[in-house]
Amino acid sequence: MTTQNVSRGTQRIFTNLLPWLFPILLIVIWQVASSSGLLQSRVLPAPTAVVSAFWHLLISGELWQHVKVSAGRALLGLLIGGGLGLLLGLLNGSSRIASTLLDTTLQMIRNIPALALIPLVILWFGIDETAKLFLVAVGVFFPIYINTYHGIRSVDPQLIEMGKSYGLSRWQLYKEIILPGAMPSILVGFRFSLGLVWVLLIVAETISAQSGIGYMTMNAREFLQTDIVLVGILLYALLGKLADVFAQILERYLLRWHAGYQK
Amino acid sequence: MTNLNLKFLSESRTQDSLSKDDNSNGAAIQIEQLYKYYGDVKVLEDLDLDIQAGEFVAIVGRSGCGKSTLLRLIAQLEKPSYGEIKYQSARHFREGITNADIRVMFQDPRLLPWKSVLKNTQLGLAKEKYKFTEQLLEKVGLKDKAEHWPTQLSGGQRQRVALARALSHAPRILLLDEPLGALDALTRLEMQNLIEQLWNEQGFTAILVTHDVSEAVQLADRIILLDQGHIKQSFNVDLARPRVKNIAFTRLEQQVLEAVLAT
Repeated sequence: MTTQNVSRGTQRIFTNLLPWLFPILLIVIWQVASSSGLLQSRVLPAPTAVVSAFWHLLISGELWQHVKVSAGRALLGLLIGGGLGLLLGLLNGSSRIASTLLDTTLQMIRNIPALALIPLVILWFGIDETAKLFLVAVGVFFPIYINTYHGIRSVDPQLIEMGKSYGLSRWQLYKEIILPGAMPSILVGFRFSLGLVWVLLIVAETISAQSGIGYMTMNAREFLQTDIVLVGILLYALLGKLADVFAQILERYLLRWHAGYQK
Repeated sequence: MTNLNLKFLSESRTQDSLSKDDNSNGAAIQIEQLYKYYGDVKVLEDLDLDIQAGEFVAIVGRSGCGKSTLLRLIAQLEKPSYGEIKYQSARHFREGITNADIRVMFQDPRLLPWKSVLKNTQLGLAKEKYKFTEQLLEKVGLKDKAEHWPTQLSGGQRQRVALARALSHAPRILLLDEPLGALDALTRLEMQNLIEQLWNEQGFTAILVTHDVSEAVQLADRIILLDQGHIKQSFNVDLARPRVKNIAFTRLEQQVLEAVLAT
């Protein structure tokens, strides 16, 4: 009995560790290759060098400074672009006149990649903060807009009819039925935007910046500090993952009624 | 004239049972020369029907005979092409009947999945009447499920929540659009008993649209057979309640069934 439990326990530890086997192996090979001089530090610094660069940046406070600036840009861009996307999505989803008037135009603009606007954005706003925020905002606008619009449109009309026949006012109908009904779709758009925000930010911060993770990375490239470049790249990965975890928690809370989120 | 008519109704009620007269909260319905077209398709044509306050009427007929449309018209979910539906309170002659006095139970429960069972029954209700819904949930046997999500309930339980929700508004007219069609035979029997019991207690006027002739005989005071938008036949069900499937029951059931098949 106990031996069975033990073996089951080890089995669980084993299945939990298995996904990490390959990354760990890769890092070990990488370290060995760097230490033996097979891999030049100009191409790829040793993992230990990356860790120590990370540590130095952290101690000096430089890292925190850049992360703060980048996260601030991401958040503000998301707030502006996402807020507008949500607002217009709600408007066009609810009003037929608004959607006939605006949707075609928005769908046309949607086909322009946000990054294709860079030359124009630089001409318009120069190379300061506004340009970066504009790029991020434009990029995240469309996923949220489209998913909100679609979410509102696909709310079960039977539920709306029920609400009307139960004497709900227009505002109540919106608050109790339409908005919660569209929420799963809105959250899909939000999560998609969170992923996109970092991609846009990397590009925006590498064109021209005096701070931020992108600036830190580009600056390090000038001085051939590959270890810092790697720290920057890994930071983006980390922040992206953090944002995704946050979105997941939000989703699990807001959609706790959904069969897919119940234990 | 209507007053006279209603006085006559309540007299006929006393002959049936005294208790029903005491709490006859129901409203009488008068349908005069009702027409309904969808484009060129004639669904209801020159339909006249008087329903007494507190009466339980079943409407049967083949698919597409217009019975659901008739119910939706009475529910004010749709407007008639011609003709009129008048509602009259039995107890208080001067009191008008509004949309708030009419509640519909649909074929599927149409519960809001993002609200708990209790919150669903409180939809569109004034706050001071909230405690009433808890009593209703107890009556339909779901008090212990009050904090569950609708997705966690079985089909029969969901339909019971829908019944509690409809009755939480203390309606004078309850319209039932094949609400038991999707349930298994045993659950359906339980639901029929529950509906009959609550109808007895609360004294609303009930109109049931159904495919199931046996269900109509089980519940109704009167069965209306609809065929191509006309009332083809009307059957009075003079069987004592609660009804048992004796010879008289079976004979009437057979009679109605043959009439339906002949359409």
